[in-house]
Amino acid sequence: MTAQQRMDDILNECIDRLARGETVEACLARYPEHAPELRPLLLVARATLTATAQITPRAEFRMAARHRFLDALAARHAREREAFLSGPWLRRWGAVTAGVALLVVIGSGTVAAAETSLPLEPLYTVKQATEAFQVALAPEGSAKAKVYAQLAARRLEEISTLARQGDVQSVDQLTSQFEGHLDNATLAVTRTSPERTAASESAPAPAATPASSAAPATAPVTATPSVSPVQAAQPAASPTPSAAPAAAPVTATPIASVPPAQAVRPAASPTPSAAPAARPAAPAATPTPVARPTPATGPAIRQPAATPTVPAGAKEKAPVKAVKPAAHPSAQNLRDVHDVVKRNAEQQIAVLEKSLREAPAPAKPALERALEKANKKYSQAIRSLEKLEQREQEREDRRDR
Amino acid sequence: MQDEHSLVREAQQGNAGAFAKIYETYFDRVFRYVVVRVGNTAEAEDITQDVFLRALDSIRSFQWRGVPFSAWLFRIAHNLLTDRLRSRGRHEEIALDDEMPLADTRQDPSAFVEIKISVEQMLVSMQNLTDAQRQVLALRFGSGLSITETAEAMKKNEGAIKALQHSAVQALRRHLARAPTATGKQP
Repeated sequence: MTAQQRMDDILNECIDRLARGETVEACLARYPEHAPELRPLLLVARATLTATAQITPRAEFRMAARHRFLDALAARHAREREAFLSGPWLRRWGAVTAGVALLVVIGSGTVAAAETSLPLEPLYTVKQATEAFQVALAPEGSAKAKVYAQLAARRLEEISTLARQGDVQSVDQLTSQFEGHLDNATLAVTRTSPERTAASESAPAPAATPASSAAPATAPVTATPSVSPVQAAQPAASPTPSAAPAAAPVTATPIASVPPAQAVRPAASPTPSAAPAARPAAPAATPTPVARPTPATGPAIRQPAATPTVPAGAKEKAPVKAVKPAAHPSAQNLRDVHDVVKRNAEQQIAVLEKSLREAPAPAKPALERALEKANKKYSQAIRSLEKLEQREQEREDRRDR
Repeated sequence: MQDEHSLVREAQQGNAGAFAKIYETYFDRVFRYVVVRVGNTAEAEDITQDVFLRALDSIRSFQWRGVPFSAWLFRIAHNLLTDRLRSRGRHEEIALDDEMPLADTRQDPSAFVEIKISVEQMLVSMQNLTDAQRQVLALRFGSGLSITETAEAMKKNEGAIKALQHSAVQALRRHLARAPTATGKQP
């Protein structure tokens, strides 16, 4: 190895260390013999990391881009469906059918239309994508818990609708997805609670479910909360414009969270995925701050805290910790989540019971299983939330005293 | 936790939810990469959107074969950038705008000046680098890619990328040194 290559390696290693939050001085201490040459380069590297971490998309652009992307997803599925339908047996109708189908599907109400779609329908995949965005957008804590709670209720609505139609093909899968969503709702507030250790013991352990049952939006918040580079770079006392309600959720998106995503397959995608879907894991007792997932291929640059460039020789401040923990939910927040879950439980159980009475006989066994699981899972979730709420209330009372 | 491999595979099989998660994971990183490359927010926004639309169209053609997904995605971004710049006949033009999105540091005015200038200085200085130098800094510093991923994205070996990174930081230092920094210190 030549001296030049050695220097390339050292600089590269130091850049990775800076990106992980190490100080310039600490890097220089590792290579004192190269310090005179390294120092100015590392100061530039540090300044560049800090500057690039400040670049963040406008909230309006982020929203517009997301809508455009969802429309493109819908259009792609429309095209695939058209290709499926315009086989030889339908070819003579193809042009007309495809044109009409595309016009209908790509219309401005695509995403809205997808809201009421059911598994195996073409727009269901758009619904899944929209839900994944909703989860990603929601700030950690009680807001994300409420999103999960609503998704859980949605799955039960779908079960009721399908069962009344006599279609039980997807009921078991939807039931598992419902359970995953409700687990995630509880975990979302458990994880951010100061009582997490005790609470996680009482929180319902995510049920082991078949690999094919996890819905895209059952993405659990990872036990190791991670932050986007932008978030990592925010000075604690200086929230970015994107910390406003419209954009803050995105900076809170758990980048490292690569959740289970096996979906109920739409008709146009007949090949079922054999991918094993991990169920949401119980939260770790002590979350480890991680700025970004480390690729298997090697250490990636992580954005450092946004600290000003330090002149050579000056003593550097310790970098701002990369992870800004989500504010733990207050008793009121927990009460809100509890109320949502309880209200959903009452409504959805009633609907399921009504569907059970009205459903055709062949659909009843699957519906009974769904009802039993819904009762059990809601009871667990409500108990867990009550405990969390009670503990938090006691903690707040102690603090007030 | 599902790994990126299975997430990509499901997106290839038509799972829109999986693709939505990929989108969320990479959106900011791609945007930063493009901003650093073009130094222009409006153009960066257009290109960032196009990157994901192109990826959506061609994800079925992606094959792992030892190439990280991130490298494939940033290749798309690079190709779109190249096409865009070529079609406009501009390579080294810089069009910094006043609307460059910056972190809000209103609570600390001194920090605001520092950071704002740092971003602009950095972007202006970047435009004086070679395209390859700018690309390596955009991938490593802007998007947080590892040296391996950067090498795959730029289709070079890791040694060449490290050397390029070294020369890029040196060149950036030279250009930054010509203008005083916000704090009056010169790197």
